[in-house]
Amino acid sequence: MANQTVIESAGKIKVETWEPTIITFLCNWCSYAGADLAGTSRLQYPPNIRVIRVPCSGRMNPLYIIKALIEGADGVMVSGCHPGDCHYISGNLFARRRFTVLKKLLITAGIEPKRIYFTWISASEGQRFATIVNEVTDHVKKLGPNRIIRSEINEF
Amino acid sequence: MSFETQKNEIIKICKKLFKEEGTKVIIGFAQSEVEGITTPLFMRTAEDAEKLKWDSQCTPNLAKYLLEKRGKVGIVAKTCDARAIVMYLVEQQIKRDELYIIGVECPGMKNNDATASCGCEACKMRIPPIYDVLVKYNAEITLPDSEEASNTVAIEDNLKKFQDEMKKCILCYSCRQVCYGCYCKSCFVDMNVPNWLPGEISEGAKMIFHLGRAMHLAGRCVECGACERVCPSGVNIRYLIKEITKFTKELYAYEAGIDPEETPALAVFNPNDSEAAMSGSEVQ
Repeated sequence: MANQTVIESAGKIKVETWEPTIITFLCNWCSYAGADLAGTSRLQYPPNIRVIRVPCSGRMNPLYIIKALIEGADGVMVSGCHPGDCHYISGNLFARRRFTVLKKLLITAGIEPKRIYFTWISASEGQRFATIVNEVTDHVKKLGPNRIIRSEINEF
Repeated sequence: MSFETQKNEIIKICKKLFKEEGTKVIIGFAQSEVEGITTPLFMRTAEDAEKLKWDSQCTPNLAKYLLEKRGKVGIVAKTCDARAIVMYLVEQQIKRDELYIIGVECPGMKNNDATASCGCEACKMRIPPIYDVLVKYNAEITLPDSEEASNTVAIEDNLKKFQDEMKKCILCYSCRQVCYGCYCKSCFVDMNVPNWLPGEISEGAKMIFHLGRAMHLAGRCVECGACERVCPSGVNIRYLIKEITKFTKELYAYEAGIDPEETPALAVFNPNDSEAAMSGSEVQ
């Protein structure tokens, strides 16, 4: 798998052959259905995302994101229902505060803000899903490989 | 000396509590066998009260001991202890009516070399936010002018700074043990399923620990500085937590440990909250 190569030999691998791995957490009720719609509508989007389905964006443990970044993911994207549309009434509103603080924390710890994407995608927004995945992949490609894991490997 | 008068007054209150209120234990400060080090003191009789220490070296945060005490408990609380107690009340870890708080006006604690102790250098709160009886300092207190330079540094420097701090860490978890806010029965770093930390002591493991802990303390830190004071390798981890404490205060107007009636910033929401973190935009 492409991401395995990047993690295991991050120090050696050439940047031209590098493809980012973006861990994507999608909420079961809106964004996962949105991704499904993008698929059934045959919309093109980059194959760099690895989708993990969560019950709600409020279920997102900040540790998932931190762990993903430190294990070598180049980007993390989290998507839930639009504010007000949450299946569990307010899960995404709690999540919004958590994400805001988490993002600030990760920036303070030196992670580029563009690596972490929080967004809202509803079940009918297949086109929006494809657009956002394109955008995220573009940004992460521009930033290059995740330096946290790389700088650690390079030290030895 | 005002410390001396305060101390005598605290001892008087303690004796009265044992005699009249039937308090089982009062938590206070005592001199350790090592000079310049303060240990907690658990007073159970009126005689024990004579061992009490109150001077500019009473740095430990005593609030955490409340979690393991049952029945009527008294505590000598300076500002940061009292703020931690407020947070315990908010998080429903202790009951107010089982607690007798001897609030002590704190003039700021000092290190052995007379510099401001960790956590006191920018603290402007002198009177504890919660108390049953207040012991005043009765002398002029000079407040620190805490105009810390805002550190707007480039992301590269941020990462370097963070990694430099992480290099010092030996993952002893002292900061977790001493922190008032880290009272989970099973901490995420001790878990096997899911295994949050890799088995070896690597920079990644340290980063997960410190970032995870900072996230758990987001909007809950009372800035007592205990984490940094106990660190055997001098890791300045407080700068991370300080930054997000400031951030939650600015964005959600919530400061931990002030009002026992208020819900912590991350446990509530406002439908009109800022969308600043959304769609890859930078958090201001």
